[in-house]
Amino acid sequence: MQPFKKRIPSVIAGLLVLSLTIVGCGTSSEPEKNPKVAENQTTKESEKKTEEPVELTFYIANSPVKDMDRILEAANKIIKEKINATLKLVVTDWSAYPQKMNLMISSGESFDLAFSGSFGELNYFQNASKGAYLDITDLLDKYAPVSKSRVPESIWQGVKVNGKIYGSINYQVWGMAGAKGVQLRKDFVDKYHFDWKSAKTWNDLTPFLDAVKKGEPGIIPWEYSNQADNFADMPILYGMDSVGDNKIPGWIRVNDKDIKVFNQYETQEYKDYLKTFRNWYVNGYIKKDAATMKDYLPDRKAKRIAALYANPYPDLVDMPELGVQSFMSHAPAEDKVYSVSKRFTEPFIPANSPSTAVVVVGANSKHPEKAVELIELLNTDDALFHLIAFGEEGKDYKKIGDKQIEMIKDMYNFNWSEWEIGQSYGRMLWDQNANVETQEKMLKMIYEADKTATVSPVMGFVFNSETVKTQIANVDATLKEYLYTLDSGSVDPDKYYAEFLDKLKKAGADDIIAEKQKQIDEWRAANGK
Amino acid sequence: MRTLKLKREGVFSKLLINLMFIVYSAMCLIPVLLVLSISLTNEKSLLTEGYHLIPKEFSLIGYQYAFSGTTSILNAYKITILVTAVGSILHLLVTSMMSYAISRNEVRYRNQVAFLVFFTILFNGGLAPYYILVTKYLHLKDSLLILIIVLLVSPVHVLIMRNFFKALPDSIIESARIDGSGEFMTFFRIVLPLSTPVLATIGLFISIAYWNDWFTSALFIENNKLYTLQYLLQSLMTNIQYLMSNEQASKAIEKSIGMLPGESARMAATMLSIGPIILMYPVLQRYFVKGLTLGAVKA
Repeated sequence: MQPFKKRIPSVIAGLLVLSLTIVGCGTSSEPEKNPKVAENQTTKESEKKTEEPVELTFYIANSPVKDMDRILEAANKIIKEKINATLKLVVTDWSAYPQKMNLMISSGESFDLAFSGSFGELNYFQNASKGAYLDITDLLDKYAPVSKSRVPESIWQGVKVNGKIYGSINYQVWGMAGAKGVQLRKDFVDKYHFDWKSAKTWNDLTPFLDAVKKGEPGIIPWEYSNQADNFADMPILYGMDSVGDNKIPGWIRVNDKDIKVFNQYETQEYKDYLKTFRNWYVNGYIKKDAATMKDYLPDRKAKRIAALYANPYPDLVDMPELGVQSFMSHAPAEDKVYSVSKRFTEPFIPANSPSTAVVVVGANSKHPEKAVELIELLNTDDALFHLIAFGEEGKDYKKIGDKQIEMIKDMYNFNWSEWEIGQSYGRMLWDQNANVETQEKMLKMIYEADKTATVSPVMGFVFNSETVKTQIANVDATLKEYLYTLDSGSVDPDKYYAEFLDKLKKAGADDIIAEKQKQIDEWRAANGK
Repeated sequence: MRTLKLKREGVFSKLLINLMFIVYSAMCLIPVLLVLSISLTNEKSLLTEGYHLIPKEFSLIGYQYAFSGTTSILNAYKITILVTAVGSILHLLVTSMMSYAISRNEVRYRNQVAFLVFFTILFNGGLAPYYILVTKYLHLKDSLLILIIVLLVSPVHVLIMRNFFKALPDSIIESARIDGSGEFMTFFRIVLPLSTPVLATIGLFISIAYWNDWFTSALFIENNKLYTLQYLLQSLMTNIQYLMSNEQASKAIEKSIGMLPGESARMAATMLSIGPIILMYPVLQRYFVKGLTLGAVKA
């Protein structure tokens, strides 16, 4: 026994040495793999003397991109020349991106730029008020004047937190203002002589859906999907706007000067909606499993949908020449399934629209000025923007016209995610199927609407849900249980609607509404609205 | 008469048991066959005619996408195989050495060490501290090493192995010592060869764990050359869900959805990802059953 005991230290030492070498491997290879840290330190010291280019990290979400390195190398040539910096674009999966960013933020890891937004757990507002992003109000004026002036001032209100701007708005080619309406299959509309031009409400569609149901076996007259609930996700259709998360109780009316918050599920509009959709469901216009259906792509790709909700602005009444290029959503391009679109509402800018896509500067960024300069460069240098969005001309795409390209298959492809890196407003290239002239005319209308459209009365107000967290969680559970079955018409509202309201109340819906009202009143007093 | 009756009963129960297992096997097999069939079917026929066990319109387009598309699946294969092979061997080495040490009565603080190891089964720091540790202190973000280190020791495997080693007769080890064998010699030449069942079992567990680990990649890997196979697969499957549930946030998202691969491409990637690991089972199976009971019964 004794000799063995003496050996214990050597065994432990051996294990320690082993573990050290393992850790050692990691740290020793680090400087080669990640020169960022060392580089950053040296640049800070010698910035004025040698003007070493700084490396800026930019986190975005995207599906995997092929040949990213080649494009970044070409992009960095431009960026280096213009602002003496290099870009390291880090692409993370859509599904993992929100969690990853939240982890990076909570661990205080530094990043220069990142894509953020107010949907899908990206939590722009929460993170901004937590101090995760840098206040770039002044930096934008100084280093990114074009990016700033391109977006109307009223829209900048929509990304402010406590009066400060934390994100540069990626003003998109689609504009800010949107209208809600429907998309109908053109062949059926023609066949059944449906007067789509005068359709203004859900009920107006009933004759069309009925004709399709009777005359077209195998076709689903109306697509209901719980990914985009026809009531809870579309407040503007009912003349309302949401405060914070769409589905949580507490909406306001767009034309209400006093901004009174109420429970949208108690309104007459909702009762009417339920009646219509129950009727549609009973008559078989909606799929039997609509309430639980998450993946709507197969039906759309198989051309089984006759009508569905859409965001058509301008629609075919506004601009009839769009007809030659409007197809049913996600139907195979080669089959050319034409559609007609009709909007039910006037163009409107909801409160959460400006914050849909923003670029933020990390609070721990070492080069905030350069980062903002890069935002400006991406927003103003078309060659650079097109390079990242579409690749290299001749290699990844062919140019057919001034603003029209044809993508080459199996080459670099950014998966149409250019809206995450900068403002695509007026700077997009169109694919071979688009008619550039029509497209330009359409964009003109859209941009015009951005200046004239009604803006949500709560634009610039940020709801802090901290105090009613439990109630929101409870309400959320109730919504999951009732909302989709009711809204898809799967259950009889006469039986379940009262029960639904009762459960919402018990879950604390009134507390949430009161809290929203309280915060809005304070906000109005502070901002003189 | 009696024997005949007994025989009949035997036949009946055998039939029942066999039938049960046939049904059970079919329940396991059919989904896999369906995935295989979908991966070999033309996308369009899938949409119009639905899923069939035998492809209605045969097509290799799914596999073509998987190999030529944006996903660089071949590179991911290399990384995953490398990580699985190196990781499993290192895991076996580290875990077996540790379990051997805490299984020997001569080691004074074995129980204290064992407690520290098993404590982590029940308690851990949580995601954020884990992330901070790896990125800020170990600086292992974006390196191949983190993919290996993260699974290097598993307390449950230490527990299983320790119990196995405890069951080895002390006299073998003592006689080796008398013959002048050092501790390492005893361990590698005598203990390990006697422990092939447990090594095979743990080896199988851990190689599957390494093979299926996508979360580490999602957290720490930013360089697309270091993506693992399961991470790519995960992204193919979940991106589509995420984007669809947020489609109304922006018109731009609708376009992004259009770029995602179709059903058959996703199923082809699934088939490719179960490929090699499924071969581990037949190879290791004969150790597997024995190893499992040996580890558990003599606890």
